[in-house]
Amino acid sequence: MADSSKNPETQPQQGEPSTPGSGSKQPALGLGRREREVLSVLRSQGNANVQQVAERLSTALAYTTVMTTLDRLFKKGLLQREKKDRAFIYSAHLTAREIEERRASDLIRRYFSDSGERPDILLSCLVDAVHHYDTDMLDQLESKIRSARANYLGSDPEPDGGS
Amino acid sequence: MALSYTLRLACLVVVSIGILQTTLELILWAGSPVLQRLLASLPVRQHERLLYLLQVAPFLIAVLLTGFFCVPQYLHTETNLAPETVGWLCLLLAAIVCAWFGFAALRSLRIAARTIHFSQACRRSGQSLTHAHNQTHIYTLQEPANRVALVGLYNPFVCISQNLMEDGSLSALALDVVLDHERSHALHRDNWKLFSLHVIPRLSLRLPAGSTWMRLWQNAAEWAADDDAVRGDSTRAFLLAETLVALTRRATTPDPAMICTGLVCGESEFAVRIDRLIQRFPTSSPQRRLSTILALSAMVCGAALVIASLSPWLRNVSERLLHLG
Repeated sequence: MADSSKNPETQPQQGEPSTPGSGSKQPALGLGRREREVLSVLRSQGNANVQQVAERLSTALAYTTVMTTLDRLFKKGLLQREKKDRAFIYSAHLTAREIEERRASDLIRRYFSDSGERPDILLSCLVDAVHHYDTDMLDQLESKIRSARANYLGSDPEPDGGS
Repeated sequence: MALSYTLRLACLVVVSIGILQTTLELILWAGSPVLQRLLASLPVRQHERLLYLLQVAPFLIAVLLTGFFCVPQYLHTETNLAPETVGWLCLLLAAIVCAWFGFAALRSLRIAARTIHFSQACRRSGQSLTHAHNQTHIYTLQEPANRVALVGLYNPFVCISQNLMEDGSLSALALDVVLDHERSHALHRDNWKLFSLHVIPRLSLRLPAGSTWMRLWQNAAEWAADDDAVRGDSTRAFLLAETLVALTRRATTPDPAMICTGLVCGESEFAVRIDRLIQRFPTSSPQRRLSTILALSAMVCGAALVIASLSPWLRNVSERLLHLG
């Protein structure tokens, strides 16, 4: 059995369930067809080792392929695993609904803040986050608003303003 | 190359729409300084609507002229049902127009698919805040960019970062103004308008003043939503101005990740928007509005006269087009 991760962070003690390091940035949750099938097997099975998962898949896959898929799902935070007799026993860490919610959150986070992609989504943003604005200019605008408000109210500008 | 009757008709339709649209867009481009001055004197909502119309009009007019003039003329005059040679320039133009329209169609499909996907993700991930009196749904999202945005095409909804709701950056009144702004976009179907501007193939020429018709429309749409949110109340105007500055400080990212109707493309435009809010809405006078409407009517009449004067040449236009080159 070569079913052990080289990563010390994800190497649990014997009999102790492990999940990928909490607090670290989770990888994106894009799931392939094979990953979805493996998850479905584990949900129906409860928990299983690599061999048991491989036996329940609709198509025959090499042991190492299933092992890699399980490891990938574990690293995505979708499975937890426990070491028993030199082999990992995997179980589903999240429900189907939780996975969907996480995928949705990932997507939103990526679209709102990822600078690498240009996904062409129709949004009507209150303010545009497209450019870096000069903070001096923003300061000037703020003081302009304060003095305009003060003029309107017929009094001196407030020292701190703000909404 | 010899084409059958049907293919010749298809070729004629494509080339006719392409040439007419390009011509009309070039005319609008040349007349843009005058048009911009005229439109600027109109109330901002009318300004926005006319800017939108100016962008869709070339394509619609091209389709209408082709459908009601060029095609019937061809069907009426063309008696040769056998294959006939078509000019190489006509074929080249047809290929270019097909590629142009095909690209626009693919881009709009991609935008629609991604928008629907993103909307579904927001609905799944967000927490709904809607109450019975509001037609526009509101979702709070756990996202780091501190955004307020209207999302989606069908039944668009407002997304607000959870952070903005929790850290007290938005007072109740500020939130009300902000939501009114987004509801105005929903009410006037600004996302649909933006989508249609991507669906319709356009040249997107940069105007002599340095902007584009699209950008001008985006500015006007944003100003109009500001006006709707402010409702003529100076307190709300100051509050919106302050909120815009505060959110801009927090919402800055290094590179655009989406197409936004948010107008603030640069610092100068943002400053203009704020100035507009704090200067208590300079409104156009009825006299200027009347003169603008008269000037625009005169332009439309002039265009009709030009088309009428070209009618002798237009009699054989379909044959001329097919044998270009």
